[in-house]
Amino acid sequence: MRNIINILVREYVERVRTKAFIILTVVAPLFIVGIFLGPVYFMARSNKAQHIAIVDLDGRIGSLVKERLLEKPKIEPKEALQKAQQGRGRDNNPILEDTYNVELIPVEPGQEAQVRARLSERVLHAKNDDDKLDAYVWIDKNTAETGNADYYARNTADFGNVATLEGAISRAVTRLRLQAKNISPDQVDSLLKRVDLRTVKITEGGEKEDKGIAAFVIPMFFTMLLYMTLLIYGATVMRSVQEEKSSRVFEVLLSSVKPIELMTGKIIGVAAVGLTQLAVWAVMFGTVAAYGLAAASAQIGDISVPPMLYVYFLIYFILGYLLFSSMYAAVGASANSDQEAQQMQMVILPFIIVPVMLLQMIIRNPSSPTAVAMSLIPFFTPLLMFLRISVQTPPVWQIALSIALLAGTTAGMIWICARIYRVGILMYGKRVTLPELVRWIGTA
Amino acid sequence: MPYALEVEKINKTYSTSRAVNDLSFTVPQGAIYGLLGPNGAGKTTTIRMLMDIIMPDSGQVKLFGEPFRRELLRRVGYLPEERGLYRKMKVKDMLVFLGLIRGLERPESIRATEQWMARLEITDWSQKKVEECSKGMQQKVQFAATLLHDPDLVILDEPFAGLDPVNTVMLQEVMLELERKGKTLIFSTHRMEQVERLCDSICLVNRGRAVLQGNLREIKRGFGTNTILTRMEGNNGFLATLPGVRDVIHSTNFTQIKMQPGADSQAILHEMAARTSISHFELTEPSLEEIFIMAVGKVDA
Repeated sequence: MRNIINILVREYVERVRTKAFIILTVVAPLFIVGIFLGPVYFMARSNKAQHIAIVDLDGRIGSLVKERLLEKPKIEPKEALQKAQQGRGRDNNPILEDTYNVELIPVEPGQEAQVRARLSERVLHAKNDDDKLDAYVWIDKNTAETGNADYYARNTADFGNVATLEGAISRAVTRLRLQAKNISPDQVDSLLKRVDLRTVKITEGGEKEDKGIAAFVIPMFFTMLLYMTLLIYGATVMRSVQEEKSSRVFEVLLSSVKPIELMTGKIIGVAAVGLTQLAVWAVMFGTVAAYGLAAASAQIGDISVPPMLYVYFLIYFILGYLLFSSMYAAVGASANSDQEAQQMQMVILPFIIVPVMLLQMIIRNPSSPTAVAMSLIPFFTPLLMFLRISVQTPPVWQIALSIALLAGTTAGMIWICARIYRVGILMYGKRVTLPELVRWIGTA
Repeated sequence: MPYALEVEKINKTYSTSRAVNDLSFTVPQGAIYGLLGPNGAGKTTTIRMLMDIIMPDSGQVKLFGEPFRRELLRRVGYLPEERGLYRKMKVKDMLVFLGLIRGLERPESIRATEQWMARLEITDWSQKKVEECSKGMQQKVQFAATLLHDPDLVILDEPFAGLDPVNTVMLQEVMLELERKGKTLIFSTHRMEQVERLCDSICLVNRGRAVLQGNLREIKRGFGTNTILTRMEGNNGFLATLPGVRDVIHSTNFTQIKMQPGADSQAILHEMAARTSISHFELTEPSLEEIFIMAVGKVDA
């Protein structure tokens, strides 16, 4: 016990002192916040007007589209933002409204080819900013019947823009079609009025109106945090063990310390570093949430975190960390060099990466049978069950079962890995094979 | 005489080779004991078995007269062949940590660290990181680490490798000081002049077996005085033709004459005196180096 504490303290003090730790502790949260809030922020800011030209051979559609595009959004920006985050804007525009600068281009019959060439030239090589076109739309004589129109742009991946134009043209065409059926303009307007779905989240505490993407951001934020810390600290344990092996420090230590003490001390020491880092992040996040994010909070919704989520986070972090770090320790002890360790950790990585690939699926449907099954696989439990809990609290028995399975697997894995560690840390030379590993586990 | 260490018929076989083969030796308390042998003889494997780093396949080790127990290792100091230090740690922190691991309380560990840093003249380096130290400096740090907890038995695997002459002498002095304090020292090497200078007893290991062991003086005496060291005037080409001479080795200042077994040194002296003027004539035991080569060569042949 004394030895474990000495080793733990050394590991902790030496790591917390490093520049890498300090930098990671400060930079990582900025990075995460950037990933989630950056796009929202930029979407809210980058309302640069799109310069669009419309060629209308039909003669009626173009002006309706222009009118629609230049219409001021009837909803407040904040509300628009929320709708955007929920995946809906005006006319199902999945992103925020763009503002438009629209030109109607008249075409003399027979001049189509020249007009098209000139417009393309303006898209590609504009003389100046005023002349510069972002895109142009070509509406045919029979667009109203066929429902086909063409969109020309340098960047055709701007789905938001395409969707907005599509919506505007559809609306114009629909209007014409309805008018053709002798429906008055007033009636047309009321017929085209769209439905807004208000989203309400049902929780144990009653109904609560879901304000924007917070419902998505909070679970993702914590799950990614869990993922990163498992990965980073697992790999830290691996490198640290590897360093002890290749620098032969363990040989000096081993005469006074048992291998299992060395492994335990190291794993706990690194965990303490991890928890320190998380604590720093929690404080930073709390502060930022209280001040800097106040504005963003108003936009993305309620970013308060239920206290139980912290408890679950700790439970799954600690169990998951013990599971993966003991595996990483075994890899570090079996490898002969850092490079070999890097290659050998490929054995562990799928256990961490597969759940990350399942996150999207689970966040969309957290109680599907697949989600339940996957989240009960012990290696996936830390990320997936935690995600399920944070999105939509699953039945208590599932949580309890997942924790029991995870704890049991972790205990078994520590036992196996301690054995591999004990033999591996003294083996030099050739690369270890799987049958050898199995034999190591068997050695008393 | 009480023994600090008794090794009885230990064996270690790796998948491909038998590293240690029925090796037995005893180290008297208070002695400086040399574990000699060519590269790959099994010295390091033997030492690692003594330190419980690897398990012998069979055989027994007794420490301080008791059957091996891990707790007895608290009284042992061990310097591994490879330098095992945390590269990113500061020298002093590293030593204090190792002292704690060896069972010292923090204040004791700090005191011992400071004492040994002063004795080995590395105090100026105490705030440097290990990786900033030269190899020789790291060696001294490691040497200090071995002695922090004032062990009764000190096992040093190749302690002088990579040291300059000044530091080699410093370490040798420390070893002799420890001997005077009644500590037992075992060290492995293949540098014979160090053995001749320091050791009371030796065990010569080759291919995992002890080929020669015991008190150094007695071993040398056992080989008899079969060597003549001489210095003389003029041409000495005739020496090789004298009866009883097995080999002649010329060096700048001395000529060494190896005699055949049972040859009469006085007869050789007379022959030499008849032909030239002799300024030096000395009958000696073979050097340890020769014994080493003879013993190892015999097994290999």
